[in-house]
Amino acid sequence: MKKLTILLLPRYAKFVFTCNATELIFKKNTSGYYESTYESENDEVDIKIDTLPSELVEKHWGCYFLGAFLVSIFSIFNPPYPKRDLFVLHYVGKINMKDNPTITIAFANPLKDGKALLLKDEVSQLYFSDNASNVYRLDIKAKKRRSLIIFLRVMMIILFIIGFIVLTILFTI
Amino acid sequence: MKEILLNRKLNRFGTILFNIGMFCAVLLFFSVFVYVLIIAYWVIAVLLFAVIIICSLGLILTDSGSRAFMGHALSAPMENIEAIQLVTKQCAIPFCIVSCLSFIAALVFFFILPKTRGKTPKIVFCFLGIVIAVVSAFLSYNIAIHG
Repeated sequence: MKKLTILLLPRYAKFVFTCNATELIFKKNTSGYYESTYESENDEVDIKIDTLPSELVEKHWGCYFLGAFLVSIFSIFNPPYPKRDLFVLHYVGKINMKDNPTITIAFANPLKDGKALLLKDEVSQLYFSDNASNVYRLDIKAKKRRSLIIFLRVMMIILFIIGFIVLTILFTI
Repeated sequence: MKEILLNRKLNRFGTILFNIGMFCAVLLFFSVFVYVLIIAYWVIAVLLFAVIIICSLGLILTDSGSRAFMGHALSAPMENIEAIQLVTKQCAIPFCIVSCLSFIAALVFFFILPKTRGKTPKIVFCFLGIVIAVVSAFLSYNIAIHG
């Protein structure tokens, strides 16, 4: 039985990490790294790393946004939709498990077509297969919707002020 | 994956309620200290500004008395404690109720969620916020009435 240990540097990225279709659960170790292990009889294992898509491209996103918009009093108390969620990663690759390796990976800062997963030591590079899928892709749909939401928020504040002024004038006349 | 996406939505709604509760609690908290600390005056002025900016704009444009009051407000802040006293007297109990209800609703959301970044501090702040809101509302209301 071969054992693969994966260490992830702490980052704000939300991800799903699967080895041979088994989702790995990461726990923080004493060094502050997120650690998970996977055991298999095979010498090579298929890995898949996906970041979560933005809330703005989910099914029924409009209904959820409208709900949050109303509850948060016209988005005043609504936490912002993070820019990093606009970048998605769908990495598919293989890891060599011959020598029970320990691989240390970090998520890079999201940039359009920039490298997503960085290997933190030379040993990791021997076992981890880097390929073309290891890049961040910008979700254009999410970007457009996020811009629309920011525009809507600004417009609502302006409309609210104008509306109140008009109402005040009407009541005082 | 589906569970993570659902938790993210719950976290958003919980955070919205937490933000509303915290806004009200902080406003009430500083309204107690406005009588003893000048720095509290400025903090509460900024917080109240978010609430009354629209009212002020409307009044300044339409009412000459309010225009004079705002001019006075900008030149002599210490004398405007009376204005804050009036707002506190009117709003302490409604703000306390809104704050407590928001915190309780936020707590329900946070207890449903699995362990996520910032969950524990938010729960602690929710409990603290409820205590602060109730005590501050009681104190500020009494100070506003009895002076």
